[in-house]
Amino acid sequence: MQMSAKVYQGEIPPPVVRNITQEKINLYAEASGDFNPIHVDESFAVQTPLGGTIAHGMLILAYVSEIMIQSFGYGWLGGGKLSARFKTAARPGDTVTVTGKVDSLEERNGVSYATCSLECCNQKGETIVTAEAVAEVVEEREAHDRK
Amino acid sequence: MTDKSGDKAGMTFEELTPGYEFPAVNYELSASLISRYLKAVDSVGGEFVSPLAIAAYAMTAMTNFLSVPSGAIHASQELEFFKLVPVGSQVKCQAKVARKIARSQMRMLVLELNVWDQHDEKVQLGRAMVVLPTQV
Repeated sequence: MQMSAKVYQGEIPPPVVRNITQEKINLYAEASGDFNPIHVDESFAVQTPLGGTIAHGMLILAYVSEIMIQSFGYGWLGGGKLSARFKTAARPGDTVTVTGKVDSLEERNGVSYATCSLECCNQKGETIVTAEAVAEVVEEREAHDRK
Repeated sequence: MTDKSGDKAGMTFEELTPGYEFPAVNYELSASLISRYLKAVDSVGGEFVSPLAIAAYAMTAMTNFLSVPSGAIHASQELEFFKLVPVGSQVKCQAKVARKIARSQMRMLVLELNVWDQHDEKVQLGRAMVVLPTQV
């Protein structure tokens, strides 16, 4: 797991890119137990205003979380905060890209926190999720000591 | 957020009131459960559980008590993680209705979720806004 000790303001972490397929949505439904037909039943979903199946919001947030895991490791897993809004749906066939930026670094009570703005867009540039995330900036050793 | 059989025989939107607390649910974040989750989200794991996995299972466990209409969608999600959770941990989650909004063309529920580990230490707090269809 990557360290986060050298995070700096303005840093742009590597994007997370994922292809959305119905198979992946079905796999997520099986893994999470969320079988809402809007995700897994094309014949149902096509009759709704959404016009077809969509990916689970929590699947997209898992991709958003991935960029934070890669950048902040344990500081995200054990001390993160996320506020996300779903703007439009991700659909089978979409390629979604999560990008982010470290907006600010702040120290409180001897702990450093990074505040990041995050966005998940599809291949047309449409925003699927906007989010703000805060992670502790910690060394791997510190994280292990917390166990 | 419904099971494989479709709508569940849980509480309906009309029956829920702000402040209502759902029964607590205990579950194990077993290696096999987390492995399935990681495969589904194209990620690799470590000794600690992804907090999004904890949130996903907490939401699914909670919706067992809800009669969520087919077509319900997620509008927003807030999450806060308080400690690292090793794979294999037992956790307890409990949800309550934070807000209930009913307008002519829209019904929304704001649900607050709390998750504790086997030492009764809080590991996660979540707040989800779910939009329920008035008709499909």
